[in-house]
Amino acid sequence: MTAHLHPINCIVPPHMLEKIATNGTEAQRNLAIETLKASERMRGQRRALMDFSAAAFRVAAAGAGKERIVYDAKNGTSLPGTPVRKEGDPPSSDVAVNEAYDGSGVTYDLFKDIYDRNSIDNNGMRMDSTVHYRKGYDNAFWNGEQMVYGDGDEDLPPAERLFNRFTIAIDIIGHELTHGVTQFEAKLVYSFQPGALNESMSDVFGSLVKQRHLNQTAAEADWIIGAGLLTENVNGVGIRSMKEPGTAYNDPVLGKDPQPGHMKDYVNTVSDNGGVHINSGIPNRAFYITATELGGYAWEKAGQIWYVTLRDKLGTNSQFQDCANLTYAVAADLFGAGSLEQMAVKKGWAEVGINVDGTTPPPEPGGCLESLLRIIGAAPAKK
Amino acid sequence: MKFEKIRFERSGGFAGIRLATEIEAEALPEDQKKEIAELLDDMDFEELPAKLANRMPLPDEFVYSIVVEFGDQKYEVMAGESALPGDAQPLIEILEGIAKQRMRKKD
Ligand SMILES: [Zn+2]
Repeated sequence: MTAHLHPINCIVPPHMLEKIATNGTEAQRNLAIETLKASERMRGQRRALMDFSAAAFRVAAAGAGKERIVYDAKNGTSLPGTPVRKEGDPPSSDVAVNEAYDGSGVTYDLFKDIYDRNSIDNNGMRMDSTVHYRKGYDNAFWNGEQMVYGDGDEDLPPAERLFNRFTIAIDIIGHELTHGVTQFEAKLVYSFQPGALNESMSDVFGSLVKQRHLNQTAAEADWIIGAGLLTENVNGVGIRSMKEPGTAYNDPVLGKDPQPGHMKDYVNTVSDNGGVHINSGIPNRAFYITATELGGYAWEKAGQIWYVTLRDKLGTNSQFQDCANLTYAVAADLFGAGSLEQMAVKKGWAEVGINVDGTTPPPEPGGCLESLLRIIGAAPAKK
Repeated sequence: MKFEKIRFERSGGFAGIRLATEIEAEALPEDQKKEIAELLDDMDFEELPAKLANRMPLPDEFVYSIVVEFGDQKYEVMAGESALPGDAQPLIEILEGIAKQRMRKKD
């Protein structure tokens, strides 16, 4: 058994990274490292994290079941904005409003019907979405309490647009809502490997929302995240491919999809909170392989294993290796030791370079502090 | 605040597509150079790290990195959208606009 290194809890938000990421002098780097180690500071981070969850808790007014409100930010920044469609209201004339409403509805249904989860907090929390956030906003996010969607490049002439509105793909909505689920369950810290797992869970359940909506088996599904989000001006089929990470787009303007699909290509970076949207390709592909190996509907067996792992097993600082080991253990709990399901999980992770028994450590098994120190050259590179 | 060079990067976001550019003051039109210098002054860029909200990044929000260089002085900030104070917004919009324009022109 190779021991995991968890030298320090992986709670490193970007404003600390900025100090370290500078190409500063040796003394500056050392200072940054000392800062990082300072327990006072770390306590501050933890408090911030707890406040964040507490805030979401406050808005989690317990509801009976599926309850949605869609708000319109009218291109402004204040949230949630003006309510435009409530649960049970007839469709709006605004397509983004209807997409946000319907998308959160089918996401609720997946979690309720398949995993017996009652909304984001499993206590009927109302699902709030805001559309038309800002102008020319190429993004969607979960702000700790609600989903927020931009309209893409609506402010540019059609020939220059790269992004459509972010409600256009149902898996984006499932992705954002799953960030809420993760916030109430594993609480995976949003940086480095725990952050990439957080991202991957959102892609996994986002994709399952879409697959179930389309009644597709694992073999029939495209495993593309964000299909339809890129305009016809872009050479790409979507934002990420869970099946073949790194192949979703390759475009003269947007560049190439940077996702690795194997540990040997793990990307060390401080950008993107430590590559959370980049290295998520690795666990994404492990899920795809597991699901395909099992065949049938991916939400039934593979999805169940991943859901229970997210709900009961993963913690704030879980690494890829932990996720592999835990999904493997959960597969045994649910389907039996040595079952086909457990073997499929093992194969899924092995094909991305992670062995569930830990006999062959992946190239990047360390905690995030270690990764950080390596990026800035303060720790020797791993063999 | 005088500057010779600004390195701008936006990473993360749902799409995780990096947007980055290096802006040489010399290459900018005079009025834009002046506008950026004034914005850097107005927001006390040197003091920005201390003004960032001490919070965890929000899932899928953009992450900004801005490095301002003048002579041998260098000021850097890296933070998520929600951690930046409101008075940083006008500068971000200008830098993001320049980066987007250049990205589309590079063919
Ligand atoms: Zn996300």
